[in-house]
Amino acid sequence: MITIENLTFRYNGSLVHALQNVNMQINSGEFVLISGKSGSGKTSLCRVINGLIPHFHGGMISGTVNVDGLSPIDTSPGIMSTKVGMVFQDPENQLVTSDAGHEICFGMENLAFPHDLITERLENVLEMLDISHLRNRPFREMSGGEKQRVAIASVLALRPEVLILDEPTSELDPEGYNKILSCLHFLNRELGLTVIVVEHRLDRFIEYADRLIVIEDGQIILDCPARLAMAEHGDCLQSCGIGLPPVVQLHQKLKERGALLASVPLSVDEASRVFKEVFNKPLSIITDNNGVTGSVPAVEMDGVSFYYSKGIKAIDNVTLRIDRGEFVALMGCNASGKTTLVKLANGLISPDTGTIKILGQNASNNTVAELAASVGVVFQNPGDHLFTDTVEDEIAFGLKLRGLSAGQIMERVNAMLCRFNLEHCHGRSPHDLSMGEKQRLALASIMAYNPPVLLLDEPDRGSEERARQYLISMLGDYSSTGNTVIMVTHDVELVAGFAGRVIMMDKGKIIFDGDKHEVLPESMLYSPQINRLVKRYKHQGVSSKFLTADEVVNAIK
Amino acid sequence: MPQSINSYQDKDTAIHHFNPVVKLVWAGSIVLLAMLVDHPVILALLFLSTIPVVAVGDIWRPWAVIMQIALWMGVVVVIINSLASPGGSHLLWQSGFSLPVIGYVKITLEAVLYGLFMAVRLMAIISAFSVITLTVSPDELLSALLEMRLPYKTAMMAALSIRFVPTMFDDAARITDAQRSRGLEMDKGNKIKRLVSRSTVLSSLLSVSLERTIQLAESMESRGFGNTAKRTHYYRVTFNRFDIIMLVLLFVMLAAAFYFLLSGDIAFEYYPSLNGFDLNVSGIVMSIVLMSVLAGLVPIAWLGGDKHNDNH
Repeated sequence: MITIENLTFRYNGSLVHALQNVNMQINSGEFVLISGKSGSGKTSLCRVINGLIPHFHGGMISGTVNVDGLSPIDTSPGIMSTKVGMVFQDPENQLVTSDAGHEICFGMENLAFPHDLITERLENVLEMLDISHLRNRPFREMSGGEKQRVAIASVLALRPEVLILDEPTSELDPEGYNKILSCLHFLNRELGLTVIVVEHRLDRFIEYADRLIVIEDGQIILDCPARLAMAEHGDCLQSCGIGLPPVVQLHQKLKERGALLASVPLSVDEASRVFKEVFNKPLSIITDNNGVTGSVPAVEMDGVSFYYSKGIKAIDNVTLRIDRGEFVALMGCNASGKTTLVKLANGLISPDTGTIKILGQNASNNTVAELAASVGVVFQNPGDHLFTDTVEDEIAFGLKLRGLSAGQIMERVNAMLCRFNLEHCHGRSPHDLSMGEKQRLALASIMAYNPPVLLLDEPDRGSEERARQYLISMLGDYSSTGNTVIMVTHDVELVAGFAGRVIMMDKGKIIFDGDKHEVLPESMLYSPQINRLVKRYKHQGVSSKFLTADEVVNAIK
Repeated sequence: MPQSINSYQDKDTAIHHFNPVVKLVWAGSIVLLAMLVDHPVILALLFLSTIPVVAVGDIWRPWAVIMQIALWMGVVVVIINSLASPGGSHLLWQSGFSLPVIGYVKITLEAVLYGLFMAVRLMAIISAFSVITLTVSPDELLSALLEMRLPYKTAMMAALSIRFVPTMFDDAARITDAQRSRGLEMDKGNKIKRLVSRSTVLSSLLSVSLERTIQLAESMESRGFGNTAKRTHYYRVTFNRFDIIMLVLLFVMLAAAFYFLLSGDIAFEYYPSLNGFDLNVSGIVMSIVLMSVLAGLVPIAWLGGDKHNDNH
């Protein structure tokens, strides 16, 4: 289906090759997972396959590419669109019209399909993806997962042989990505569509993938069947900053201890067979309850409600107390009120009823700028935060507001640059940085002045495993010095590994609040892989509170 | 999600369901006439005839926000015109000193009135435009512009720019939140100071929007945008009896207006002194025809009833 030989590519104005001597072959009907850290060249590879490189992005390209008999290098992306469908990361940025019907027709109209054919394909694709009910609903009223399915439908209407998805689930909540996963699985297994997914998280996709390709610095460093990659190339993956799925980690760790196990499992279902012997006896969890839950409150909310203009409750009678030194994960589906809660805590919006106290002070007595001294917030999109001319100014901004001397500021800025691995960005404009660098800079600009309460709204979105681990350990250190860290995230596996306390929200209410071992097993959508595994052995006396591979390994000892 | 007030209002009214092509011709007629006619009474009528449409379209609130801005622009027009236009025979005030280049500043009644009616003209045009932006969805606009034989890429550009207005306002709100959270003081000081402190929002907005544009272009390109010279259009605007009647009425009215304009029956002079305020018989006939045709959009839209497009 796709053959790439000796492909080398460099973007205009760039000195390094985005892709270097890439050779690869993808067969019809395969489900291929392409992984690698951000900036490794995986997106560029996709762009080559559908002709956006070189036709849209320009640059210097050499080598040959063949997709079902056509060369995308010599064929316009328009013609290629009937061979290769491409779905992008952010659903909001790829929808041209304002409802599903128009969006699905867009491509077919561009290729001048006759009216009857459009009618047929439109009905067909709506049914195929089970989105007929969304047909006339405006995008404004759809969830991210629904929008992403419309985006998939809009490229499938052109009947491509290959479907490429560039991090299709990174903007979605668990409900959204589960829908996308089953949809892709159906397209690949039932309809025989070739599916290529670019993703640095393996746990969601690996069980459906036939093959895993890993790219590092523009070169393919691993290309083998998914199971083989998990069984034998775990070290290689980890050295590229790619995290292994928890069930694979468990397999690896038990094997190291000499356990006799069948071949590596890729899903919870497989794992439940592979680890049958391990869980055939009662196991109870050993929790090291050294949570330094202080007794000094940092954030207190009492009966807080907040309404949208039309009387819709965004926050519904929330009462909570978070102490100094706590590291809390705030979870819940999109539109459950997490971001609204963050905005209430730093005074961007005021509650309609109830009171909010920050470090014992009533929040409504202060302006947002005054509150910023005690509450630092890092929002989802790092580009929103950055407004000065250079990376240094960005970090210095908060320090200047607090009246530090020039020498102190300089010292602090340099320390932050070093700590966040931004030294090489010295003197550059924040807007020219890569996504990962922007994320680190946004965080550095807040952490530089040590706000006692640090709120983060999905700070790890789109970053690879190693970067997330680093972020988490840094935040852990920060909270252990008496600061409060509250992090909004969808990443269940990450939360399973750190945090003491988890607060789960739904429809503006707090539905669970407590230790992660109590909260996560309660939630269907938010239980980590290992937890879903151990629950199957409940009847054997295995505690259903395990969340990570390490916890299981420690308990077996 | 709350609906943003600066863009298409998704509502279920006769005006929303009315044929977008006819609405565009209606708004175009108002804009054209507002630019050609000088007579204050007719200018006022042009503005007034948009009000029933706003009322039935249930777009008062966003319309009022837009008109508030238009009103401020009008005030600026009146002030500038009063100060800068020395013509006119009724002197209201003269400066006791002479300024370099300009000389004595004279304010005449005629200049003030001229500015005032320029402002009315502006409000009529903006009101007609806002009816279009608030009651025609970007998808309908695209279909309508294509029906009017506009080149495809131009029509697409117009539709896209309207489609992304609310997105940009969301972006701006998010960026403002993020920057205020960093301690950027935006609540204190006078209006000008606040405006200046928000300039950083603009630079971030520009960068965020550029990124969005590139991604959107990629997505369009990979679905064959601009691939063939001839493109098919699945969603067509369909015309019923009432749409045709309204179109005919609009064109007859425009023809009549041109006749009266050329004949000089509704001519009006501001300088040196106001002349032609009293309308003669044909002027009055003209005003009545104009008003009833333009405001006639409302009953015709009611009669036209059902959804106009989505028939394919």
